[in-house]
Amino acid sequence: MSTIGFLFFSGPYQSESPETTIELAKAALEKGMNVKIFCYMDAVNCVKVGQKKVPGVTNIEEQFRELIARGAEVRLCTLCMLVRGMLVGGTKAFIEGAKRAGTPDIADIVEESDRVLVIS
Amino acid sequence: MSKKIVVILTKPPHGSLYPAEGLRVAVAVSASETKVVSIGDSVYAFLKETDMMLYKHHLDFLKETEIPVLIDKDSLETRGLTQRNLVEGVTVEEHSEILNTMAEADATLTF
Repeated sequence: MSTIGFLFFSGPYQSESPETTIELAKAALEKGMNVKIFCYMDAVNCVKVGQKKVPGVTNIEEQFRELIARGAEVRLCTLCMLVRGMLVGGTKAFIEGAKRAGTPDIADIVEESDRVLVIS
Repeated sequence: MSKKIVVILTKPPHGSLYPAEGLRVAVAVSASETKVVSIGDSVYAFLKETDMMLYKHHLDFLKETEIPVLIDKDSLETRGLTQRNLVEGVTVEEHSEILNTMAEADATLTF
């Protein structure tokens, strides 16, 4: 089974980069591929819990929950969360199934993936 | 067999953390065959006068471990800069060589 990795930089609700990442990841999952996403810098905000549902706007938290439920692996830059105050509430600050990680995980994802996409 | 990884820096060191984070990742992936390429406004990150507080330790590590940091000559020249403006330990390369380096990579990580 082939594997696609994402190095993903963008926070939610400012551009459509999160939606692009989500749609590409879903397409890869539908094709039976393994999906590994590393959320770097502002992208860690995409997995914060409690994102308000706004009609007509893609809820990024829900979409990431769905990706994880469908088997995507989501790793989060721990330092990026620390500087953004996301670790104050422990793991409750981000969605279940997403994992704390560090930059060495990027090396792992590159080694484990057939292709790596960078989305900023 | 480890992959060839090229970390591509594109953004300036002021007003963005991207060069610092790119160099941090270059250190993190350095167990693989890694090169760093600097194009566009990221070349300002390697000027002698630039405050490198956020990434000097990464740059020092890359130098000590002989991981190449390649600066695009075209990007320098269009900004009126030359090798003399740059810190030691980085290498200025022709644009065609920079493109070859990227083309030969198994993975490119763009910052």
